[in-house]
Amino acid sequence: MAGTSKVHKFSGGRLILNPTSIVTLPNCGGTQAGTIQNATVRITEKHDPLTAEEWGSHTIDATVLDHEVFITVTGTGWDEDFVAALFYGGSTDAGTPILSYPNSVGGLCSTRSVKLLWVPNDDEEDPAWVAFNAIPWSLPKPVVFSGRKPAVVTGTFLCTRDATNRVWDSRLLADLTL
Amino acid sequence: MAGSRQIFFSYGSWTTSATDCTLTGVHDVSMDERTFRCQFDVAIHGGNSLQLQTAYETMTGQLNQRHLPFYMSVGGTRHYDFVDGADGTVASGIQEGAEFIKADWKLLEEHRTEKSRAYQITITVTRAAKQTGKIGVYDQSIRLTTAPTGKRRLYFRAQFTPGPINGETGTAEDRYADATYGFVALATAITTALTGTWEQASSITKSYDEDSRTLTASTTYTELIFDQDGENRNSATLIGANYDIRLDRKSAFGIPGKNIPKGLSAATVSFSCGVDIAGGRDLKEVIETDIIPYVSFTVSKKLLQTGVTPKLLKHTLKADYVNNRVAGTLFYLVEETTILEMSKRASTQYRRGITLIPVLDGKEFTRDMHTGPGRQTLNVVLGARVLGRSAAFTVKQLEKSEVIAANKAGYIFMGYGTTYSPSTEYFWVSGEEIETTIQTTTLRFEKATIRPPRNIASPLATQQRQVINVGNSSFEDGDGAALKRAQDAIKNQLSGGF
Repeated sequence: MAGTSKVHKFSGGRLILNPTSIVTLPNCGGTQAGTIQNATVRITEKHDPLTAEEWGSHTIDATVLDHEVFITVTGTGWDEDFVAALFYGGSTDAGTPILSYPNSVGGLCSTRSVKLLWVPNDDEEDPAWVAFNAIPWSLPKPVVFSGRKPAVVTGTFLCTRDATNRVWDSRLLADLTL
Repeated sequence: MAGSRQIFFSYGSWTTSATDCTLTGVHDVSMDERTFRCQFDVAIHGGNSLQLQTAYETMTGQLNQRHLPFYMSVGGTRHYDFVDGADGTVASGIQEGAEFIKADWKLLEEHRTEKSRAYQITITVTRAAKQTGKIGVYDQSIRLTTAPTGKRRLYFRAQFTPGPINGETGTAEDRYADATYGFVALATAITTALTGTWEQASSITKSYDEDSRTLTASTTYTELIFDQDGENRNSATLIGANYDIRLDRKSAFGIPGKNIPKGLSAATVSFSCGVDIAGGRDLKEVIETDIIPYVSFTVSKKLLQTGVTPKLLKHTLKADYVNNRVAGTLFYLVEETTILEMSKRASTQYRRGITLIPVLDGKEFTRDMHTGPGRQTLNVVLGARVLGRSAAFTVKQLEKSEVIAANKAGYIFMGYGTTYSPSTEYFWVSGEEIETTIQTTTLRFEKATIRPPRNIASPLATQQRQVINVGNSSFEDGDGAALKRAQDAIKNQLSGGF
C-alpha cells in the first residue's frame, strides 16, 4: 500500500458522520456531512511539570495529564446533516434542519456525541482519521444570515474517549478500525 | 526519569529514586536538639493504573511503619541519617540516636491522572539526648524541701531516651538502668553532693511513652537522721521504718520518807517498715534477726528516758508478704528499780491503866476505880514488792528503820506478829523470767518506860517494888485508913464473907 511520508498538499476529502464500515461505499455506512471546506485538528497536551531542586528547580519531566483534541470543521451551506450534528435539537429528514434551543435531552454533552470520519479524496496516499466520540463544543465563527456573504457553518468538536478508550486515530483509510 | 538525580530520600526499603517514583519540588528541613523534621514531594507513576497501585503500595508499605531508618542522599553522601534507636546499628555524628521516626503523607492536587499521583511526605524524628557527661537523659528535675527541723526531702525526676548514642545501643530502659548515667546513679550523685544519709522514700514511678520511646522516672528521697538498724544509719534491709513509743510508768505505793518505788513499767512500741525485696530475705527471719533486736536495743532503749534495756514481753509483728512489709506492736517490761512497791500499815492500841473493881455495896454497877498501869501497843505491817525471788532484804531494811523510829517514840519491840509468806509473780520475757516477789512482816511494839535495873551494891540502884500510895477518901481520916479498909475487904472475901 502507498505511504504518506512524502510531503505534499493533502487532497481534500469529506466528513462522514457515524460511519459503520470502512469498506461500505460510498460513505462507509455513515452520512456525509455536506460539503466540508476544511477540517482542522488541534491537539493540545496538558501536563504537570516535575522539577529537580538539585538544578535550581529545573523541569526534568512531566506527568501527562491528557491530550485535548479539537476538530474544527467548516461546512458549505446549511447542510441538514452537518448542522443537525452541530446544534442543539438538530433533526433531519425534513431537508432543512430543525433546531431547538434549549435542548431537553440529557445534561451531558456526550448525549450528542458523534463519530467523525475523514475520508481523503486520495485515500491511498493521504491519511484518513477518525474521532471516535466527538462532542459538539463551540462555534468559533458565527453563522451569518445574510445575502451578501456565503453561508458557511464552522463548528468545533471536542474529541472524547469512546467505550473502548479511543479518542482519535489517524492512518490510511484501509487500516482504520472504526 | 530524565537526568541522573543527585538527591534522593530513603525510608526503610523505599527510596524516591525508584523507577516508579520521582522526587519533585524542593525539600524542607527543620531540626533542633530534640526534633528533626523533613518534608518533600514525590510523584508516583506507572504505565497503567495497576502499576500505579503497585507503586503506591510499595511506598506506603514502608511509610506506614514506624522506626525505620531514614536518610537523605546528596551526590551519594548521606545526610540526616537517622537510624532507629533501639534496634538499629550505631550511627555517629549529629544524627545518632533517633527514637521516634515516623512518616506522614498528604495527597497533592497536581499530577492526578489514571497513571500518576503526587504526595507530600513528612518525616518526623525524635532525637536521643546527648550531653557531655549525660548520655540519654533529656531532663532532670530536682526539688529539695527542708523541714523546719532541718530534715531534708528530695524529689528527683529524669527523662531518658534510647540509643544508639555515644557508642551505646539500647532502649530508654537501658539508659535508665545504666550504671553511670542511669536514674539511680544520677540520684545518688545528687544525694552525695547534699551529704547526709538518704533513703528512697516513695515508689519509683516510671512511665514509658511508646511513640517517642522515652522513659520518665521519678521518686522521692528522704534524709535519714536516726539509725535504721542496730548498726547502720541506712539499713540495707529495713525501708522507711515508722515507730511510736509509749511508756507506761505504773504508779506504786511507797512509804513517806523512803525511796520512791517505781513499778514495773511497760513500754509499747508500734512499729512498721518495708523490707527490701532485693535482699531476698524471708520476712520472718527479718523480724527475728533485724527488727526485734533493733527495736529492743536501739529504738526503745534510745528513746526511753531510761538507761535500762527493756525486756521483750511479747510482740504482734506480722509479715505482709504481699507488700513485703512488717508491722505490729512490741511490748516490753522495763525494770527501772529493784523496789517496785512498799507498804506500811501501823495500828495503835491504847489501853488506859484503869482497873475497875466491883464494890459490894449492893448496887450492880458500883466499881472502885483504881489507876493502874496503862498499855499502848503498836502493830506495824510492812510489805515490799521487789524484783527477784526474795524481798526479805528489803523488808529487813524497812524493819530496821521502823524499829528505830518506834523506839524513839517510846515503843519497845516485842516481836513479830503473823508469819509472812511471800508470793512470787513471774513474767516470761525475752526468753527469761522477770520475778517479782511480795513479802510482808508484822512488828509488835509496846510503849513502856523501863525502870532502871536494881543493883544491890548500890543503894541508889536498888530496884524497889513500887508502892502505890492510896490516899484516904473524903470520909476517912487517920493514917492508913484507906489501906485498912482495903485489907479488911480482902480479909472478908477470903473468909467468904462480904
